[in-house]
Amino acid sequence: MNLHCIGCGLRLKTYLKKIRIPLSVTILVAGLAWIWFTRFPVGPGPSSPIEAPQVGFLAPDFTLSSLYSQEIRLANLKGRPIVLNFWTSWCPPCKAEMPAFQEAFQEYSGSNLQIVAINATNQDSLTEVTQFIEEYGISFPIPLDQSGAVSRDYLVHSLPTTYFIDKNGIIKEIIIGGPIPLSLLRIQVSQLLAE
Amino acid sequence: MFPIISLGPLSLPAPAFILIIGYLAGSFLLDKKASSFSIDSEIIDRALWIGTITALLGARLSYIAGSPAAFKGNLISIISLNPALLDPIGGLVIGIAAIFFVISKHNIDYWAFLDSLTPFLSSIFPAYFFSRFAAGDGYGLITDLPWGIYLWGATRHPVQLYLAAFSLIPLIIILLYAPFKNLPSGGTFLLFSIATSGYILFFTAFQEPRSTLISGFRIAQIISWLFLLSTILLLNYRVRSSPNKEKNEGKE
Repeated sequence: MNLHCIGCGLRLKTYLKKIRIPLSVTILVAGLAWIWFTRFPVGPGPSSPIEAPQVGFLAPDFTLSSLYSQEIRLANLKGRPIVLNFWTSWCPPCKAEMPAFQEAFQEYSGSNLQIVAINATNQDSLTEVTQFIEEYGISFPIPLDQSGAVSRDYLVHSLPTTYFIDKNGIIKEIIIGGPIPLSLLRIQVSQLLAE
Repeated sequence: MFPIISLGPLSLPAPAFILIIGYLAGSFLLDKKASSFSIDSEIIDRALWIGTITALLGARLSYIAGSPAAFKGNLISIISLNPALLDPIGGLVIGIAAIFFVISKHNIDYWAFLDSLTPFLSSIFPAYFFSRFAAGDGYGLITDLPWGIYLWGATRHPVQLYLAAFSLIPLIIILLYAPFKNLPSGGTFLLFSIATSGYILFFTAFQEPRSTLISGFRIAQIISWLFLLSTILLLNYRVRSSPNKEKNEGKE
């Protein structure tokens, strides 16, 4: 029985040795053919890009009011790179990264960069938000997401979450969690401005 | 897509969590299989840990080296815990270099070491593809097939699940049959690499490409094919240049 099996194994090994080269060539040629056959069609993309909170997609549009009743609509900021942050006043990493956002806002004031920090007001209190803005001396727009609809549209599961959006409204990077240091903001913003 | 695992007040990033599980499972398999590869598992464990730590440090240093000016006046961010400040490719290269440095210090044959590392690698790949699925990253092309999943505004090929499912096949084969005694040293690793680059080459065709070369060729497919070519050539070379075991077996 054993001898018979060893014989089978040897025959199989000899057979595999014989077909080794043709098999290798077949696999490689088939691979090349598959690459050619499945190449992505070249041409203009879809006429209306899909809105989705993911890298490579159009950032979902929203209209929100700020603390001082100023209306902010994302579509109106088209043509400008945007840093879109979601935060609350009770979240420690949100607090820790806010000074870096304020510093970046001042550092890039000469460019057309826009920083927008949406407060998830449905999980926060307006009094705390007002105190927070004054305490941290924040001067960029703070829209209030009172119903939580925008946070849901952007699938914000964790705070803070930050989206880096290019001048065409396409999401280029998403950073979940924090705090985001100033150096990281600088790198992401310079990539947005370079496009 | 499930980017965050919520455990009461605690929020864990699911992709990182899945990768850590894959790493730990891989380390466990490596220990279990090391004896059958005739290599001291302690040395491999040590090399792996040194490689991991060096890779993390290297990823941070490589990221800083890419944009040193951004850290001006903000040196404290060099030690930031934010994983976005890591360069994965730089880290991988530095980590691999560190592993080979440790191995060469112990005079272990590189091919034998790569064979013994295969159970670890075969556990990392399913974890990697599942983590990408959890993050909603690497999504598929739009399809109307019944098994398509609704993701990012359209029904798409669940391409990360295709990859994850097929990456389980080498894992199961390696768990059951490795090491392959009829192959020369390095054969187990090279066969695993051929299988892996083969299914990646095949299924990447169903992925929405982030970047393509001229005429729409996917970069990921071209890299996979080049890897397939080099591993096939290496395996053929190893088989041809290895001592003929059949003859020896016959004599015995």
